[in-house]
Amino acid sequence: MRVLIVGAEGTVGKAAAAELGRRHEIIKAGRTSGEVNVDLADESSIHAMFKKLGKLDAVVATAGHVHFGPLATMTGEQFKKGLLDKLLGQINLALVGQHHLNDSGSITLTSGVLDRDPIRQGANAAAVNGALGAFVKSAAIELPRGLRINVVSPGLLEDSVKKYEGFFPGHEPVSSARVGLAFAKSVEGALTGQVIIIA
Amino acid sequence: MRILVIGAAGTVGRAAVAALGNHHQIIKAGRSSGGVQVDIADSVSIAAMYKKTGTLDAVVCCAGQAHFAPLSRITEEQFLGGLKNKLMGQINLVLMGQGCLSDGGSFTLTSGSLDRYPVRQGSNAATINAALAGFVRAAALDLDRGLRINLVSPTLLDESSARLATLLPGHESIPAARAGLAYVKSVEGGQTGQVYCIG
Repeated sequence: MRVLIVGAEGTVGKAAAAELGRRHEIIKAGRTSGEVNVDLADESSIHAMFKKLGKLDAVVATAGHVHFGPLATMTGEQFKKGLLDKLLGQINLALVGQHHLNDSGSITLTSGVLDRDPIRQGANAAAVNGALGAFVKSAAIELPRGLRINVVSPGLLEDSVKKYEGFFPGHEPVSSARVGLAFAKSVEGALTGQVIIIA
Repeated sequence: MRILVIGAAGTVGRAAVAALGNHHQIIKAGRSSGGVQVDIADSVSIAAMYKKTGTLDAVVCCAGQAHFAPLSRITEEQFLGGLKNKLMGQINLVLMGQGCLSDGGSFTLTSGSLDRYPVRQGSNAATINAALAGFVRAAALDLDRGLRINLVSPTLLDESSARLATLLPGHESIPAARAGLAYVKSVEGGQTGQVYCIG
């Protein structure tokens, strides 16, 4: 399969690329890295990327930032940044990407643990993750031509434990290998409309 | 209690006001109706409203519109329009209203059933509803002074079923009065971080 991974240089993206790369042709995309550059906040940049790449069998998104901060001082502007980046960015990729997939192709997005198991300062992440789960569940019932869509919701990755020290009290970290398998399940399996939880 | 109800003239808003009954002081707000005018998609308008309403014991929001359209044609602008209105509008009510609530006060927001039971053309609504649930679960952890926050997620209402039944095939409708009770549970009860699924 020809598999596009957007955000391939991130922690989750590397996990997805390592597992899918064993069996598939991987095209890596990123804001500043990878073979193709794309800014998911810019629809014309997404169109340009797909025009360059031609038909694909799978689109994987492992990109997007949210805003972490205490609710008491969080502003609407900060909240909106997370919505535009991690939520609408991935949704844009799906909306444009649906027209560039071969029959039975798949779209796999990435959310995270914080809607199921929230932490302090995580209101923006929780909203974005929950939203992505419902988006794929709803989009799946509309996609034609056997196209599929899922979202991978990984717990805190072992590789990110240091970066987020103190923010995720009591959360059990998950290995990159396990997260990578979830992307293989979505891309190579037959699931659609699912939130694939790696906890 | 002094309770601000935004969207008080809508079907859900009227049910909430009726259920909260005569033993509270209700301040009704709406885009074009009620004692206070507010457009929740506009943060300047929200700030002006809170300046007028002073200290409150509860803020109830029954307002917000999502965009309904087929996935194959929905544009980023349309998708973002729904996010700005029903999602960011309600979140701004919380972010900007925290300082206006008395100790132990509450926020009650409104989502809907389409994240649990998605329908065709409903991907924007599904996304928003689940985002609100994630936000409420996480925001409850961050609120101080005993402030609380809950979400009411009603299914199709009897009162709207003539207009919406074809969009929601097989969905069993409920009387708005049942949804109204959930607002009483949130405002007068002690719970926080909860999603009340009605129907």
